[in-house]
Amino acid sequence: MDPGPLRDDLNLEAWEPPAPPQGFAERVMVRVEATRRASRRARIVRRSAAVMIPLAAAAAALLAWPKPVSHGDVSAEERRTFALGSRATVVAEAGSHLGWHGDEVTQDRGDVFYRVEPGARFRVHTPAGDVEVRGTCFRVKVGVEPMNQRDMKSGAVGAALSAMAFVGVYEGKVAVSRGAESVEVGAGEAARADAQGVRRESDVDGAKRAFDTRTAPEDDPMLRANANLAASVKEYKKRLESIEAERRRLEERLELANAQLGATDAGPPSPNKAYDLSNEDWNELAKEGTVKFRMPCSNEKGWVPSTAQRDNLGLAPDDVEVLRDAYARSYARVWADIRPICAEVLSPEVADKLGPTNCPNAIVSILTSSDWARLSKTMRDVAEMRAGTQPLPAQPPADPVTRVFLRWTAEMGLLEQDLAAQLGPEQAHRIVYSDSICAWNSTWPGSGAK
Amino acid sequence: MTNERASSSPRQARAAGDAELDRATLARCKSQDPLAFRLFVGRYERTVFAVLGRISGRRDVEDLAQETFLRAYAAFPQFDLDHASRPSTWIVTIAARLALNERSRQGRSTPLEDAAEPVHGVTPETERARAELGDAIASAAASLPPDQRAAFVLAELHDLSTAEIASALGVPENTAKTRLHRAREKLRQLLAAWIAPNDEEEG
Repeated sequence: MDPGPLRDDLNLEAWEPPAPPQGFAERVMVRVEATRRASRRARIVRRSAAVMIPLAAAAAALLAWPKPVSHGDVSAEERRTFALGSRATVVAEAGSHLGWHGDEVTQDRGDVFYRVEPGARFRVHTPAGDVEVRGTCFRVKVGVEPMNQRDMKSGAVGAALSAMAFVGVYEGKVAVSRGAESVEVGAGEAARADAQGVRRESDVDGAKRAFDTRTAPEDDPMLRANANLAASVKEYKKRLESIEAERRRLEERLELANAQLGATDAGPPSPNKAYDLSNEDWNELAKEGTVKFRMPCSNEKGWVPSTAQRDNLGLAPDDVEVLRDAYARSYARVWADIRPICAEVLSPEVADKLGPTNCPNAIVSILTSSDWARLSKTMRDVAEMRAGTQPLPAQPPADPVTRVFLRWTAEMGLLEQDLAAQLGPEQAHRIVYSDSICAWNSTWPGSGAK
Repeated sequence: MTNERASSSPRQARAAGDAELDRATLARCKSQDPLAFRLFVGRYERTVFAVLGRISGRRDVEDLAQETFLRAYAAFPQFDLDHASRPSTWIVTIAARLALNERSRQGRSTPLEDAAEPVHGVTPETERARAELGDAIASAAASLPPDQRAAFVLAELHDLSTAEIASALGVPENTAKTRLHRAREKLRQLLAAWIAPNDEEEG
């Protein structure tokens, strides 16, 4: 059998629960604000990580990218393709030999095709002369055999009976030199260096034209190699450019994220700024019926900053007295206004016990605890008065709650005026919204739009 | 099935005038607007302290109350304005779970504090009687296992239905019903002396 609700037979409300202590909601809001800040910071860190991780990956990719060997020596027993120095790719035909150190190459025999990325000087030294380029595609054949018919048709190489070098250029321009002699050789041209010196090959053009009309490129292994090389170099360049572009993009994002992190490290704008309210701000608050204010701490003898606080405030030691006295006057002003109300609502003894900080809270709490509508209306009225859309009463209002809110929302301005008379308006304004003074902020959210 | 909300106890009459927070403010809370949430805290702080104090058997529950509201703030984006339970039920659920977890963390052997405020000075007889009754209820509730006490507090003092209690405690509805039944049965026995005179008065 169901014993039935006990509350039907017993006043369970006699079991008094604990009540929220004064200031509980404000303490919760402090923690909520801390959570919000931590959450914002975490978001920035996550964004930074989102930048850093791909950047690290890109950096790793760049580091892992196969780098050309900066120096080496190759005797090719068969055709070999490899990177040479910092920016060249070569195809060394069987029987060729070359060594290199950076962009300086020595080719003493054989037939080698070079593709060199634009950049600083790149030189190929041969027994018959030197080839110097800044970025091109060319072929150097060093040997003693005469050039065969196919080579002639390709227009790419030369031949000699003694030490000689035949240079064919596919792209760009090279300088072929021997001793003091030097000739420039452009794309589609050839030159020969031998015991007689350096000279352009006058019949190469004809040979090349013959090649172009009679020989399909795929029949020429050297041209095929060139085509393959061109493709691979193109791909190589494309990937490098892509990585470079990605790196630049990531660096920009990192820079932005760092700026954001820097902004966070510098700390968010002081929360006190939210309490430096213009008429427009009050107008917005009035729409919601919200009241916000910043109040100086209450101490009959005033407030004296610590040395660190004084330094933060930019005050000279003599100014401490100014601040202390202004706080003392603030205390007197608040208490002169609040005490009579508190004494009336509670009692003079309780008022004196509570003091100027707790009395106003007690007044509002007692008079509006079960009347949200009244509290909401009072708050909206006060916000409108501060916005200037409703006139301020000429005399202190009769309603204690309105009077408390008017006092709360006025006091920091009065302290600022007091300080301004002695320290100047700018310094006074900076001081009252500084984190380094003794003050507290409070927000009383309204019930929303009318 | 007993209709938990059909009762017309003084507590419920008072609760009826103490409306839930309006939808516009709740919507702002859902978007984690701190100003709106400040209003939410103000509206439900008494409820939260009551749940925590009665279930945990402690007077000093501010830490738990703060934690309750922080969890509510974090969970508000998931609060369904159209289909979720009343905000009071929602916050009561969060508080009840925290109170039970805290009790479980501290161990069942931890004695409950005297849940009643000490009575200072001379009080009117009615106030004294009320305070004594409060002591008796607190003492009887303290003898219940935490799960039964929680079911009792949620049903009798915070208007939760059996289904809502089941959801709050994370148990099947039948289990919640059984716990509530046993709690009521035991409390009726323990508080028989307080119930009988009322019956006589009514008769």
